[in-house]
Amino acid sequence: MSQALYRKWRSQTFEEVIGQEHVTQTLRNALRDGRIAHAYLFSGPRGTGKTSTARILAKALNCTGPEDERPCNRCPTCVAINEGRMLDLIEIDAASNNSVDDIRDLREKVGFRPSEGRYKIYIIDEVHMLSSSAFNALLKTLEEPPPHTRFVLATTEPHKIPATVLSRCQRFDFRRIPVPEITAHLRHIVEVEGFQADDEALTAMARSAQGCMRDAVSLLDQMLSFGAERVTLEQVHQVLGAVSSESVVALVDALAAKDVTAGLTLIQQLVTQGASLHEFDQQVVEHLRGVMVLKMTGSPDLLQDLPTELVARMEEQANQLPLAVTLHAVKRFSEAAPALKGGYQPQLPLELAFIEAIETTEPKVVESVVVDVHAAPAAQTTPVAAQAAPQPTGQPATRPATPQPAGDPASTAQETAEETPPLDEDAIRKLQSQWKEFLAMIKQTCGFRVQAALNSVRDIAISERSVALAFGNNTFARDMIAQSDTLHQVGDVMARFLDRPVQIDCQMGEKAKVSNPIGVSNTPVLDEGPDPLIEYALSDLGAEVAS
Amino acid sequence: MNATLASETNWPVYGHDWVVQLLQRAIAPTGETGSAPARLGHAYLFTGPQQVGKTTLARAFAQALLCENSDRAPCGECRSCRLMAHGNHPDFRLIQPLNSDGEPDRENGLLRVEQAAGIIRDVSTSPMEGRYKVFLIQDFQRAHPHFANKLLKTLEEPPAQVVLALTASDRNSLLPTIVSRCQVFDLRPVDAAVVALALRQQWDVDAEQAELLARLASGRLGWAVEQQTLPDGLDQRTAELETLWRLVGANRIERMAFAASLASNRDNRRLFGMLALWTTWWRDVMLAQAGALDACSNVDCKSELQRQADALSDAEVRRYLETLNRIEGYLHHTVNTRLALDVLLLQMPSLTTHRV
Repeated sequence: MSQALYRKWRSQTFEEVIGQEHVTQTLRNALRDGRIAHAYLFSGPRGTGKTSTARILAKALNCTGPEDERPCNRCPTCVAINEGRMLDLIEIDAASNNSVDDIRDLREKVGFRPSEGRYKIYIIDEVHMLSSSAFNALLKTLEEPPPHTRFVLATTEPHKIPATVLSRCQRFDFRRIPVPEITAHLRHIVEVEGFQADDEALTAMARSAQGCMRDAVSLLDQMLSFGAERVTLEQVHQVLGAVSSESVVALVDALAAKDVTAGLTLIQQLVTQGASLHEFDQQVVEHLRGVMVLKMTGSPDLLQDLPTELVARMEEQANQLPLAVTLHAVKRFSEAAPALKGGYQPQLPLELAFIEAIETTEPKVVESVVVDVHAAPAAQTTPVAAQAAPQPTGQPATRPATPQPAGDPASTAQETAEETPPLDEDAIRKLQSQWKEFLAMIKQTCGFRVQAALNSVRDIAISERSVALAFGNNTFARDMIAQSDTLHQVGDVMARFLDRPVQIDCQMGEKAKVSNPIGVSNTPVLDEGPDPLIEYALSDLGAEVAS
Repeated sequence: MNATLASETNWPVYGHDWVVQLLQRAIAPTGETGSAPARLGHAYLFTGPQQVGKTTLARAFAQALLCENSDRAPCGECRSCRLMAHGNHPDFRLIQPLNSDGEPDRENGLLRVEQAAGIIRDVSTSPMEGRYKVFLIQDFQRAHPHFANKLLKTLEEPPAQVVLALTASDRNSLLPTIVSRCQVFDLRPVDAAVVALALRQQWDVDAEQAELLARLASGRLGWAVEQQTLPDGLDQRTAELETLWRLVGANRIERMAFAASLASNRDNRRLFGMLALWTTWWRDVMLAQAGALDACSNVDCKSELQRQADALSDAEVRRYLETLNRIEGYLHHTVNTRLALDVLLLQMPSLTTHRV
């Protein structure tokens, strides 16, 4: 069995560690000046070179070659370490030796002098798995180890390391390796191994690795075992289950054209072809992100790593898709990713995301934001008491129970709007500007509770004879004011305030008939629908309306 | 085994051709027969939906690797292949999640840290019969974190003659450090035509039923096979569907009564089977509403699908699909079963809209 490529191609010198110059440069300077700390903590994502760097450091410390070439990879100690038979390099797998006894064992042996090299180096890999007592047992040793001992701790999860350990180590954070650097390294490996590969194929592999060299090299290993002469983009796509960018473009086209059937057929096709839905979802999100970026910035500067034809397609789609739809689609498809775990219907989350992304293409969003609020689709959750409250406008207390989810409150408002003469803008302005004074007057005459209830008034409309107060969705406050004596008291105060007799009309919703809002509020409209309790009693329990 | 599908490969596996091809190349010898393969990895991870054929594939891989006669495919005749077929090859270890009594339990069991210790001990010994030792670790998503972490080093650099094969539902449920050490094969649903063919060839299912089962299986051959081995698999489905239709038209009292009967003697197998069926059904309704009826799974009930699709609001159906998914997640954990089922039934789109 051949060695896996990522083991064969482990970096052997500081120069070979890719994308971590901030670490290697510091370590080399420290080596040059003889200022190597007694303990290091290497943290960072998987496959970014932590273990490799630790081994290189071990070699450099024990290397017998010329000082400026260390590690030389030629001297006996370097060779021994490369072959994994150096006695003074003790590599501990903390994940399987995580008990306090293992650390006690280490402490006993740490005092012995190195057998061949200058330093005894302990590499504790996956150090986050040590038990807390094991960490504590290590503390003293880590703080002041014998002069011939050096520690390197490596972990992917530095947040699991106790602060007392962190403060005793010099910490180096390894970063994710950028795509071009991974691509270049893959190219190098391919050439030395005597294979051929397309540039796009290597880029696709590097991308899918998300900054982790080991993932990329593993994937390359897998690709090379394909046995073909040349690694092509199609092969990479096949192994990754990725689909060609045309399919992604086609799906977004279907989204722009609101063609549900085309989109669903496409998804179905991909499933039968054996595409990885997860990968596809990710590609769609990336593509939509491109569209979004183009829409927002208007220039393709941020998308330089994408092929120009693709960017051109994105620009077309950016022109077709409204921003709201794009944003919603990005959100919906991102949400679908974790749900794509392969339930009973693996493609279902994707289909749901697609259909719902299309649904927003309909002008629902726009409608609720602008123009006529009454026509906006009403949320169905209706406060139960709303219906039963007496209506001061003289309307019948029980409305016809015919369900008119959105139309009902609107019609009420419109009826009254037709009856009443045009709005008294001056009075509204006056009341708005002196709302505080008005509330103070209310407090004096009617008391604290009424004032509190009036605090939740969202909107006011005033005509010649009546004042309409909108209470948002606060049924409680509305009912309180709508009690007949309270209503009279408030009416009196209002009449004094406006210098003319008025009738108060308490309403639900954000708008009092049609007028300028005083409270700045964009919360969704909660309208009165049919009372769900009554409806439930009627439909499911066989009740009848008595009168 | 089957001449049409795996003709090239001759592995006892239906579908997943691309994986078989890759694995075959991986175990192919460099030079003459008997020499060591050039590109064999030390750790393979097979991910994919339940019953899609992960373990079958991993077993076939192990068998091919251990086979004495052939370098590419399991011959099925040599001593090694026969031992594999009987499940007692000394160089093949199957590691499964265990429940608290130490019994294999794939649903609720865990891969426990003692098992990892066992593996680490085992990998260091040489193979007894052949050239390799193969460890098949099933359902890695059920691994205890300590199990996974303990195996990290072994997975990264195992002894030369050891090959580890892992199966898991998806790669995101594993530690990223585990995934990056393996060659990952993300198995995808098998084409319905292949499932139907496999059912006809291997399990003697008649054509019409094979077609229906293949559609319902949504790419999981294992599920289809299981259904057809059950004595009344399809009859039960019809009965369940009829119950569902009745419930769609039922009022809340009947629905609550159904939830109560379901909760009072909870049978996980039936419950999740039913949820799967319901998900398939409502997805079909959604597809019908979107005008893609041809893609549906329940091919035999298209008229009823269309009827429900016309009568119900599409937003409601979509919302209910999400509810189904959510409730299914809840039911896998400790929740009040009755409450979850009540919600499940009360939120079901209703055809009884005799509002006043």
